[in-house]
Amino acid sequence: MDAITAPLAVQDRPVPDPALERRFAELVAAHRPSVARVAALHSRGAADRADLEQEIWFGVWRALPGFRGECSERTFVFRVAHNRGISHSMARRRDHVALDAAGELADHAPGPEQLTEQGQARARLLAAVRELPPNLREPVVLKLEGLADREIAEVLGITENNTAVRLTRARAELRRLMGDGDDR
Amino acid sequence: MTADRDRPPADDGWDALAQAWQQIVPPSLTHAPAELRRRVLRADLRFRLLAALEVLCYLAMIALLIVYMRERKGPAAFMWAFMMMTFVAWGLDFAIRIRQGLWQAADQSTAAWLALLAARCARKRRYARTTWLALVTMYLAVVAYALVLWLWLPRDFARLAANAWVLVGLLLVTLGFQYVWASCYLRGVAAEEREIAALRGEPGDAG
Repeated sequence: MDAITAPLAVQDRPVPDPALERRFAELVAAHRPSVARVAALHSRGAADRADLEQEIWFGVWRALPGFRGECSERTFVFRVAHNRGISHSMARRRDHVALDAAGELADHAPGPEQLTEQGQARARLLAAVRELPPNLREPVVLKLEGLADREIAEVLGITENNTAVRLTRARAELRRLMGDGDDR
Repeated sequence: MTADRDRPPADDGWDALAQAWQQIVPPSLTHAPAELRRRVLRADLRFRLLAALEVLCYLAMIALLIVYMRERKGPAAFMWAFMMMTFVAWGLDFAIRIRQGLWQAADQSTAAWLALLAARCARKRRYARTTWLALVTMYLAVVAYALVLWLWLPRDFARLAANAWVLVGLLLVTLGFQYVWASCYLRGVAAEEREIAALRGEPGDAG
């Protein structure tokens, strides 16, 4: 039992429902990098991303007791992450904090002279995703996280046909933003 | 069908893009997983405490009103208590409904979440309209209060009439504040509505 999966009872306090806690820990362990990427797209700076990440996991924690497995756990986590992310970025704009979606991730990338070809492709991909209109960006992020069209439709609450249409438009837009043949 | 025609081929380069995307490792996360879980649990506790505290505040106000009504009699006291009770009921209703998005876990689909956000925007617009209504009602109540004083205690009304310019000044200042606040508030709501529309996409896009 490592630090991730150990219930908090072992670490600092009694836990009302160790099974729930263990399930939560497993979700954190499995989906943390994806959630961090989604959080980075909806936040500005490391502190803001950490806040949003915590907010997302808080949302997962509160929703977990009601989760009955109608969809996959991945879909469940992405639903919470996207919804919290949307609200977070709206609140940040309301507070007049300029959003630089993905800026934080890009900021931590190596400098231009150090970038490898792959690194450059990733940086261009980030910039292109950032440039997409919001209704296309959401399905693209889910697609890039490896969700199937059916799962994307479940997360967004739209039909599979509509998901496909949006992805087609987004793909064309990504090609335009990244230039042809930049599929790496 | 347009949707079928627009359906992408099996891959269309997504796999390569996804591979590149998933190689992006966010900078070392601020909190270790265990610390993150501790923070989430603390936030949960804080959330429950704050909600309970707010309900307690409203309950305390209601209790104070009951005590006030037991000690004071007459139409003026009744009118004052009625106004306060209306205010408490309205405030409590707004506090509960505006938090719907927080209390309701965000595990619905994004479309449902956007519908909830849109409903909250509509509620905020109604709230802004109600503040105007509340302000006008308050002024009318002050006038009614003055009339009651005049009917029951003519001397107090004379004192009130002598200070009428203070009341007029207060009226203008509160109207000014209300106007500025409502303008800023509604501008924020309009910005939120624009974002919701952008996230929903074109009307024909809705799945």
